[in-house]
Amino acid sequence: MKLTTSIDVSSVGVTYNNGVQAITNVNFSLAAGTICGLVGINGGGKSTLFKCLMGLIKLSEGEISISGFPVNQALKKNQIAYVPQSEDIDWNFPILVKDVVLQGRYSHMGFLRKASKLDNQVIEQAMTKMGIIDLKNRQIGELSGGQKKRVFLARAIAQQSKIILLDEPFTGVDFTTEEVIINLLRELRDSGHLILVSTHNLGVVPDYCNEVIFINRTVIAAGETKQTFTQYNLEKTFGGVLKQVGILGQTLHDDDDDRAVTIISDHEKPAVFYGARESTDSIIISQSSSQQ
Amino acid sequence: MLDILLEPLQYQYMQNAIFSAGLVGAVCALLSCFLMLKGWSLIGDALSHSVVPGVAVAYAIGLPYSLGAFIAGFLASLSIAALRYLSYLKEDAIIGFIFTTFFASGLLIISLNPTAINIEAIIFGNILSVTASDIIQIVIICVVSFIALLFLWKDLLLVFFDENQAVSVGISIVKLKVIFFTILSACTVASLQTVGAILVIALVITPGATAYLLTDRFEKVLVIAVSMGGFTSIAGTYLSYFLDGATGGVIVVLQTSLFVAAFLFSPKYGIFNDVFSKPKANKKILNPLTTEKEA
Repeated sequence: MKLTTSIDVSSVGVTYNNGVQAITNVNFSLAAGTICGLVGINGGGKSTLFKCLMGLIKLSEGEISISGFPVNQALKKNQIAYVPQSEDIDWNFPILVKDVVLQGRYSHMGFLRKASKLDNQVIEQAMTKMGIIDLKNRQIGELSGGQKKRVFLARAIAQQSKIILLDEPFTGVDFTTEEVIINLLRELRDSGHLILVSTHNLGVVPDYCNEVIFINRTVIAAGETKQTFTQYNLEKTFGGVLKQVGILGQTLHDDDDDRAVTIISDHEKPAVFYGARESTDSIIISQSSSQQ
Repeated sequence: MLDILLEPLQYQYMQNAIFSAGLVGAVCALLSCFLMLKGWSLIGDALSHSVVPGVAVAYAIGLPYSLGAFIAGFLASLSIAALRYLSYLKEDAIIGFIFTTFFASGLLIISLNPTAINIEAIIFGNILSVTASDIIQIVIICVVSFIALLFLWKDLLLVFFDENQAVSVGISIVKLKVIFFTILSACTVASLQTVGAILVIALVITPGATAYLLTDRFEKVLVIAVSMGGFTSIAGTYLSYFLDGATGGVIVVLQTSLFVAAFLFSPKYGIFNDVFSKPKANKKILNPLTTEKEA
């Protein structure tokens, strides 16, 4: 059966047991062939939204449909792969790299989870692609930050789901891995996957995301990166939480041009804007070199 | 000489004891591997104490004691899960609170309503009094648990490792956890008679902990832990005949000595090995030591 890959979230709200309203009235739709950045402060509802998409928490209102099905049915149809945050994993777990990657194949296996020839082929390919094939018999805790991340990317590839959720994929990884991840995501997008990435790494968002969703309890702005990833939306989403450095026009040039450089950073690679300050239509001129 | 060595095996009660101890030891060891993964070892502790009121009530109203124990154990697991979900308390406080509450109410019931039940037999076990019908009970519980875990261990491992991934491949986390805690409660009940409510904690911790020191592969952890649990329980029961000491005590002391041996001499994580072997292996363990000194 051919499914149309999509995520449709309509009027979703989540209120936790203690009365805290994590998100409210969240609406967006994403279709195949998209990399969408999910950008917002910690506690702004990014993880809550991810948990909703995985069916891990009950919606207080609204509904989510994944490729036309409710979440729990979509999960049974192997629609969603998930790449966890590194800090969510217990790295002392007695498990080898290849066993983790094999977990991606569970939905393709029978009741006893016995790996077939095909399963083994697929995981070998996935590990080769991510450059970790030589590490396949290592315990996961023995790897570097970047290698660890690649293991979980390999697992997501091996799962062959059309929708991939990545939780903070760039935290604690080296630059080579960052590039590997971005290239992989582009490749997956071009082959019709739908990828949702929650990230702090503001600077690289326009590099690889063709859509972006700003979230702070509700969707602040959503749409194509070109129109949506603006200084105005960033400031609206993050309020005063971001580090912001402005270099005014008079410092930059000796003329009447009052355009200024604005550098906005959460933790990592900053987003740099050039143009009239506080304006809605400033353009992104470059991703500055990293802070390192 | 051989006569003396074979002497314990001539008695029916010793045969029963050795057989049931071996079974219970092996299944508890299997469970210990999973508990270790999540840092849930103390839940085994909580369960074993929590079954006491169940036993007391069952005796008072004339039901099989294992049924009462199982219900109480299951209620305790549920209360732990519910409190964790509904409150902000940390897990250790919740577990400690629940098991002492259950244990205390068990003691209270027994003191208010003295019956034929011997509190010492529950707390310390009395393996030599295992009867044929007890054995049937133990065999059923152990075999069913063993088979269930054999079918489900990969799924359980995934749930314990990464719940999100488990969900994403279509596994029902709640269902698996309920099955796991049911098995755990049932096995705790089965072990009551062999080693008692207190020492069963050792059975569901030590074999897993020892196996962890020896290998990085969960499959091997399972095999090592089960062999160790089965072997020490059989050997401990056998030895207790000659030592004329408490069976549970002998079993647990045997397990502890294996643990200490693994702790000192394990090829991968053993202390001796790390300090005295190749410099490459040294690096890993010595670094934290030096930083500790500096701090």
